[in-house]
Amino acid sequence: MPDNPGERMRQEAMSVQPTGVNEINRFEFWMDSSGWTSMWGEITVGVTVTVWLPHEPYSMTSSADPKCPGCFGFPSYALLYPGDVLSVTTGEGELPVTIHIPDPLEAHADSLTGEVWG
Amino acid sequence: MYKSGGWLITTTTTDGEGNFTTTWLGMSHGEQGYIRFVDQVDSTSVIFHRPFIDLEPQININYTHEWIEGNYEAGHTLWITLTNATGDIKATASGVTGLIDRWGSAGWSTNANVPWNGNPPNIQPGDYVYGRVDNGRTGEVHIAEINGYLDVDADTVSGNLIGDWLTGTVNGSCGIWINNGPGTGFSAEPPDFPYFCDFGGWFDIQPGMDVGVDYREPDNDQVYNVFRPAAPHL
Repeated sequence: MPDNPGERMRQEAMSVQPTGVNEINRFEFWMDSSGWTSMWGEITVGVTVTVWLPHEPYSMTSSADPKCPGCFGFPSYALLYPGDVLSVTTGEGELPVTIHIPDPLEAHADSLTGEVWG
Repeated sequence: MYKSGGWLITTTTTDGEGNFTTTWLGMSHGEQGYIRFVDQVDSTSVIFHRPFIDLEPQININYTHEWIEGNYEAGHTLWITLTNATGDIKATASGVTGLIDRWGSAGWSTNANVPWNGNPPNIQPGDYVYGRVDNGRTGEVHIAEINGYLDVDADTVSGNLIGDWLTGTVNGSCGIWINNGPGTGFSAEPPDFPYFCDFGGWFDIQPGMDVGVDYREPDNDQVYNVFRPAAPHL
């Protein structure tokens, strides 16, 4: 068993069998160039979503959005960077969704030329 | 690609290596926006939003609270020089752009990651602010005075913008600097550039509240002054 508690929890989450009930329909990121990242999405109503992060804190649990059935959001931000890999779980019996942050992930703009590139 | 606020500007397709280049006609100086793309992981749609900001630096100055700051992409060294009206250097600041916690985004501030070298200066109308970024981009602001009279009974603030280098219509705004405080815009016209902000009937300005007044240069640099009605002596 690894010493890293986040890694241990991630390994346990990946050992369960899927049932296909609590599939995540949508998982969204807002990733600033500073690494500041907020996350939200949509899943079956009433399901708790946990994201296992590569940097501290190791996990965050979602809260339901009362204005949008099935929508969830994480109350605090995380620091994520291109190349990071994170895992999203929805409880026992579900396989985690593994998400790779693209590397590079860049967007630049220049008002002198009117170009946006990345 | 979207403008801040969610207005779609255009769509584009990446090449085989994931690179893209597109055009935003009419992009303003200091403009912010974001790209959005969708990846599919099994049955989950994974949607990425990556904000961007113009590489031309936008400079915001508050000469009451003595700070200078701006939004900018992370990882750039930036230098600020403040001079008086005759060009004598009053202060310099330098640092690396990055996360400003209270903004939740990248930028720079003399209150945070681009601190003053030495004691903070007394920033005054008539001063010049020069900014330079390690990518060669530069910015400059000549600070005009924002005078004003705050009428707590009528809940108004009014005054003039004073700077003989100002030309044409100058847009600005007044805001109550409390959580979720209201704001209202104005357009000040030459030659005296008067402004009038009326909160009467929809917000009660209380003693001790900061009321910020700013004007915006054509390139979207902003200058702020702050007025505070005196709290009663108890």
